[in-house]
Amino acid sequence: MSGAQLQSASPALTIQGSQKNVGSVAVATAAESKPKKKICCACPDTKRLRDECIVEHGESACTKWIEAHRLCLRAEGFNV
Amino acid sequence: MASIVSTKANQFRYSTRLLFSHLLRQGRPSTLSPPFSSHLQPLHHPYKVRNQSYGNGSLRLCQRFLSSSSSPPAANVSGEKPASDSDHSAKDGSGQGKESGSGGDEGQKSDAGKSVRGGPVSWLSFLLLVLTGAGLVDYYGEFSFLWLGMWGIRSNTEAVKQGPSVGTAAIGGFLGKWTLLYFGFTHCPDICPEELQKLAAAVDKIKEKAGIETVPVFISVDPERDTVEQVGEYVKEFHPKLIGLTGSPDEIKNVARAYRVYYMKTAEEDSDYLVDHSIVIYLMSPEMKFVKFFGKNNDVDSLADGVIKEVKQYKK
Repeated sequence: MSGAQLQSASPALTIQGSQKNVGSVAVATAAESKPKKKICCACPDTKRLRDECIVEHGESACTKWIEAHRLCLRAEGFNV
Repeated sequence: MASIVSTKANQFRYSTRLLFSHLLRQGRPSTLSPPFSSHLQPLHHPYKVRNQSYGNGSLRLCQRFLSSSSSPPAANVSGEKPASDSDHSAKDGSGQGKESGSGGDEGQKSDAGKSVRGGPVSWLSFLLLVLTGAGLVDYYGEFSFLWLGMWGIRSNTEAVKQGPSVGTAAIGGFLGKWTLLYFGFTHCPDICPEELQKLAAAVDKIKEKAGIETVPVFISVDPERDTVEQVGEYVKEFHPKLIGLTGSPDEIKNVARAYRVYYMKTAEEDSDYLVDHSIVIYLMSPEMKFVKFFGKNNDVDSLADGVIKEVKQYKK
């Protein structure tokens, strides 16, 4: 199980802020059950590794990272 | 280069034409140059013959090009580390430090003149075009280039002799136009809106700082729910210049593969599913070549400065 990561929201923007939780801090922790609305913020470390691998090497060469991220998402309660 | 049967090529051309018939702008920003009305044609032109390997060769070409502009060896090594090392703080800046080896390699290509749009539009793409408003015709022509250029330029660089072609002619309309691509979905609750706001703010900041015009583009990875209308309403909220694209599931699959974007639906039973997808912003050159990608760790300033840096390097 990956460690909890404090994920700060980006600085508040003056442009079209209506869609954004200004100043909010999204904490992706294993304690949350079924955090469906936060899949984009969950498991930031494995996600970054997967995304950068795919950009540079293509999806077929990154199955290890894809699977690692999927396992992390499952541990956080996502149905993937 | 492996060739594919003509039926596949035709199917692919049809597919790409459909994709761009989904353009979603009601009006046209005055800052954009007059659109170029070229698009894929069914007839075999010398340019088309060299692209017979759309389906397979295009991915290899893309891969080859991406490799040439990959990060320094250190970043490659870090990519091979086991998952247990994933919490290294040094990775936070890995996206920002990447350099594009191809930044200044390509000179500008001459404008061979505009070609006339030829061949009838299929009934389906015409219907979709009508549904989204006649004003979109401008963008239909302009962004068919976005797709054409990706392979047109690749093919030209491999040809012994570069003759006149739709791809070359289309470059004229996009000289000086840099594009920033983002893949997301309108039901995305958190990251997509933040990333699109960042993208929109960076577009304005780049113009303010360096006087460089960039075109922001949003491509949906949720074809089941992101209709033409849905995406059109969504992009309006972020920036008047933000252009939204969507398509059929197969079209989106092809686009995502070509641009190396990963996406996957969660296995929810109802329509309230989520889409797990790569969070990257691509910088594409005026010739629609990949230049650099920016990850989520870049803020508005680092994104804007990174783009300005790449643009200036490119022109030298």
